[in-house]
Amino acid sequence: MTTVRLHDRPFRAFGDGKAGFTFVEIMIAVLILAALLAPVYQFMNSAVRETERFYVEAVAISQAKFAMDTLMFQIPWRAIRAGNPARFEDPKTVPVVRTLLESALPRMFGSGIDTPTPGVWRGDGMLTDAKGFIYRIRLACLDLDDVELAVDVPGKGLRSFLPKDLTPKDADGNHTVMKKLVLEIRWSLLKGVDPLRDPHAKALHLVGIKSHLDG
Amino acid sequence: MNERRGIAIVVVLLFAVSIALFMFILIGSNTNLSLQNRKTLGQLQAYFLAQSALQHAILKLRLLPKETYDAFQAGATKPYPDVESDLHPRLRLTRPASDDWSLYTPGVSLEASPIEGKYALKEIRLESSLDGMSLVQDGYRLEVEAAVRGTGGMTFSDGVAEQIIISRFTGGIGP
Repeated sequence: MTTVRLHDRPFRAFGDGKAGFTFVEIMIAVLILAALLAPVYQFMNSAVRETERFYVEAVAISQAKFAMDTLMFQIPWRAIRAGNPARFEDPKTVPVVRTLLESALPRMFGSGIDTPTPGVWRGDGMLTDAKGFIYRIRLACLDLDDVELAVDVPGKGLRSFLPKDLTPKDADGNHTVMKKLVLEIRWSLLKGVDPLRDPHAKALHLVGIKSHLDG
Repeated sequence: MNERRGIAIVVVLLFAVSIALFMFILIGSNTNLSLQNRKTLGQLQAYFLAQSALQHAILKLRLLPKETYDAFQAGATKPYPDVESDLHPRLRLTRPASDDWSLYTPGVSLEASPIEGKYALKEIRLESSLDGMSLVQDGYRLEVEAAVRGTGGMTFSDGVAEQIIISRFTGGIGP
């Protein structure tokens, strides 16, 4: 009969002395884990930053959609005046149009759109989102007063008309019937930083051609 | 029991593989978000160009209602060949030479366009006419399309169809 004395190999085993991890195994495992977790930590950090980047981009796209939708379908054609930035002023001074502009423009462009003249606003403002990112929003408007309008009548050929043949002058003294609207939203990826002061600021643009369909 | 030696390394390697898999999924998810944003913007731009085309065509209907009706009566199938952005120099949408084109650059030319795209009237049809004693109206169906070249070589397109009734003699817009 063989007698086994447990105290012969006190740190190696609970049974036959061969189960469990060796010190070398544990050291290698720790090294592998360390090598693995360092880039994971770095990656997680950059992933958080990337997620914020996509967040501000999504906010900018959403704001651009809202602004362009309002410009193309809600704001009267005559109230969007040429310039960079564009100017908002109703030449007919209709009260309901003024109320619409007072209500919609701050939502579209944020703060900084007021001018010293009552009833006149600039299409250039600044918005700050819930996370503290700052967006600059600007609209430029270009009068297209020389776009020809043609009708092809079989037997008579193509008949072309200039806007001046079809419409009276507008409030600015032009025969404009179409306007090119260019919207730019600019933002910084750094919280609280004005994108106009950040050389790495991002920007997006939307373009629309608005025709004179009022009235 | 020798086969159990090195089990810790195997466990750690399995863990490493699962972490790598997790990172791969996370990278893929972020890439999807970026792609999704670019697609959303491109699609949005195509939508606004399609709406621009529709407004262009409706403008012509309202300014030239009698001429348009006469064209259809004479057998026209495409009375508005010029509702196409590329045919008008000032409506043409071509990218500026510089990538950092911005409205905030002093003196920037608005004749350039920060996006590249085009719109066109695909179809216009005279669907109905009402010749009453006091009301003379024509019903038209318009269909337009627009395409935009986005970043990364992606192209986005959109189309809109609308029916509109125009007074044949008073369709013109007022001052």
